[in-house]
Amino acid sequence: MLFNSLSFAIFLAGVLVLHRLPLSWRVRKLNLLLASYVFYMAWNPPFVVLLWISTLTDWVIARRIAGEQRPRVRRYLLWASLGVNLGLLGFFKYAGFLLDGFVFLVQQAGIDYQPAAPGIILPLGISFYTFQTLSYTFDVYRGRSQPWGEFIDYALYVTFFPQLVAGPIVRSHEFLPQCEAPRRVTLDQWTWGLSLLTLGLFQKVVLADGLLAPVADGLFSGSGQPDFASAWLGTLAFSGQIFCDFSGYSSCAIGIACCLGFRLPENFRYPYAAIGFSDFWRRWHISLSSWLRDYLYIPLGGNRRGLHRAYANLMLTMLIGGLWHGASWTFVVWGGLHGLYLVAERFARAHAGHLAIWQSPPVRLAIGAATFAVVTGTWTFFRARDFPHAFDIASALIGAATAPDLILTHRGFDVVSVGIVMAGLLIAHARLRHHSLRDAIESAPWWIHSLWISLMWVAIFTAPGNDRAFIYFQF
Amino acid sequence: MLIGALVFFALIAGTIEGSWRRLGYVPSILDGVDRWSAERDRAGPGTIALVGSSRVLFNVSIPTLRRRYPEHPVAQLGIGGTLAGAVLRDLAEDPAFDGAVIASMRASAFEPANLDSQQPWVDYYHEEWNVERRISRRLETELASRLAIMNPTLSIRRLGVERVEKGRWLPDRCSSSTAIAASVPTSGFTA
Repeated sequence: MLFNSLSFAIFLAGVLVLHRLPLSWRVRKLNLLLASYVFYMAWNPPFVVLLWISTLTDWVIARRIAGEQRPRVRRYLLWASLGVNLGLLGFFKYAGFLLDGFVFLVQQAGIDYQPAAPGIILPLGISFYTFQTLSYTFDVYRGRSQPWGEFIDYALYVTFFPQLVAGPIVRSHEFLPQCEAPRRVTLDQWTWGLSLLTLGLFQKVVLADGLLAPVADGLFSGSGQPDFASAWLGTLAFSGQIFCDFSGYSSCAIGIACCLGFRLPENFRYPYAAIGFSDFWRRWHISLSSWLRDYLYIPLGGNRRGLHRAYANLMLTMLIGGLWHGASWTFVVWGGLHGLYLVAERFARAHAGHLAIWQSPPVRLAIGAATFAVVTGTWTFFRARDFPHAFDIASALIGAATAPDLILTHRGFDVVSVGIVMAGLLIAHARLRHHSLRDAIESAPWWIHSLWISLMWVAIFTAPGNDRAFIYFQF
Repeated sequence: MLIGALVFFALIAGTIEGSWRRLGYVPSILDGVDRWSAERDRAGPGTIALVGSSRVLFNVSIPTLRRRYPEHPVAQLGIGGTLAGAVLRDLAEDPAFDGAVIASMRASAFEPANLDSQQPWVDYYHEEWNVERRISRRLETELASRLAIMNPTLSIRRLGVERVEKGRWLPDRCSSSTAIAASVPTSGFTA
C-alpha cells in the first residue's frame, strides 16, 4: 500500500479511529499488528509468510541464545538466524545476480550455458525487516538486551506498518520499551505527526514525482550520450528526487507513528549540507549507516586494528552497503566509490587533520560544495541501467562526452524547476544544519504553520497521481 | 493549527476550483497506467477491445461504439506513442478473453525492436495491479471527475511548461473528458 494513495488514506483513518477506541492496550496493539499485516498483504498476500518466518525465527532463536550458556551453541544459534534471514534475502533478492555471475564464469570457461531466467519477485521491504530482526538477535547474542517477554510487542516491532517496507530500520531497544505502557497521543503530537506526513507527501508527490522525476528520467531513461549541461541537469534532478522520495517516505513513517503515539528514529538530517563524506553518512539514511557501523564495521574490527585495517573495513562495509541497495554491480560500484571517498577523507584527516585551515568558513563552504557535487555525480552509478550508460553520463559530467546527442537543456521549464527546487533544498539544508525542523516550525506563528500546511495540501491535491512507487520499495 | 490549516485549505482550494470553472476548465482524469489497467480489467467474455496507439485512442468514439453494440463491453486499450504488439499478444494468451479485437496496427509493430513497446503496461497489469490499486484508482477517478482542481492539465508542472516554454499562462481547454498524460509505467526506476 502506498502512502500516496487514497486507499491508504482510508486505511490510515480506520487505524487511527481504531487506535483511539477505549480498548485495552493489549487489544490496541493487536489491532495495530493486524492492520500492519493487512497493509503488507495489500501488495501480495502470500509474501506475508516470509515476514512470519523471519519474525518467528528470531523470536525463538533469541530466546534460546539468552537461555544458553555454552558459547559454541550460542554461536550456532546465531548462525542459524543468519542462515534463515540472509538465506531468504539471498534467494529472493540476489538469486538472479548470483546466477548471472555463475553464467559469466561458466562462459569464461568456454561452456555455452544459458539457464532460464529465475523470475523471482522481490518481496516488499525484505531488506528492511531482515536487518531489523537480525539486529534484535545480534543484540541478545552480545548481551546488549534481553529477549522481549511479549510476542505481540515483538511481532509489532518487526511489522509496524509505518516503517515496514522502507524504514527507518528501527532497533529493538528503541521500539519495544514503547510497547510496555499505553501510548497517549497529545494534540501536539497529532499536529506534529500530521505536519510530518504532509511534508513527506509534499516531498514525494510534488517535488520528487511532479517536478524532478521527469527530468531525471529524461537523462537516465533516454538513449544517447548527454552533453555536459544536460548530464548535470539530469543528475541534479535525480539527486533531489532520491532525497525527496526517500526522506519523504521517512517523514511520512515518522509522522504516522507519531499520530499513533510511537516515536521512530530520525533517518535524514539535512544530508546535502554535509561537510565531508563521513558527515554525509551521518546524515543520509542514518538508520542503515548506523546499522552497518554497529553490526558490520565494528565487528570487523572497526578502527581498532590500525589504519590500514580500518580502510579495508570501511571499503568492505560500503561495498556491502552498496549491494544491500540492489542486486547489480552498479550498486556495488556506487558503494565502492563512497568507500574510497571515506578512506581518502580518513587518510587526509590522519595526515593533515590538525591544520587550522579546515576550520575557516570559506574552506568549509568549499568542502561542503565539493561533497555535494561528488555525491551528486556518484548517484550516476546508483541510477544508471548499466555500466556503459553510467560511463556515458559520468564522462559527460566531467566534460568529456565524445559525441553528445541527448540534450535536455532546451526544455526551459525543466531547467527552471530543477534550479528552484535544488536551490531551495540546499538553502533549507544549510540553514537547518544545526537545528531541528520542529524548532524551526514551532518558532513561527501558528497561522504561518497553518498556511504552509494548507499550501502543501493544495499542491498535493493538484498533483496528478502518476502511479510511482517509492524508490526504496525495490530495495 | 490544524483547524487553521483546514480553513486555509478550503479557502485556497475553493478559490482555485471556482477560478478554473469560471475560465471554462472542466474536471478531467489522468490517462496513466492505472487508467489503462482498469480498462484491461474489462477485457473479458464478449468484450470489444480496442488495441493500438494514439490513432485508436483519439479517433474512436467509445460512447458511439457502446450505443451501437450495447450487449458488448468496450475496453479502450490504446496507448499513445507506442505500437501494439505486446497488448495483442497478451489478449491472445488470456483464456478469459474471447471477445473481438479492433486493432490499429502498422507492419512495423511486429518488428522485434517494436514488439515490446507496450510490454511495460502489460507487466504492470499482471504484476502490480492489485486490489489496493483498483480501490485507489476508483476513488481517484470519482474525485477527479468532479473537481476541476485535479485536472492533470492544470498541474504545477503543466502550468509551468506553458509559462516558460510557450509564453502563456494557461493551457488549452481539453475538449475530451480524459487528459492525455500517458507515460511508461515505472516503480521509481528499474534496478
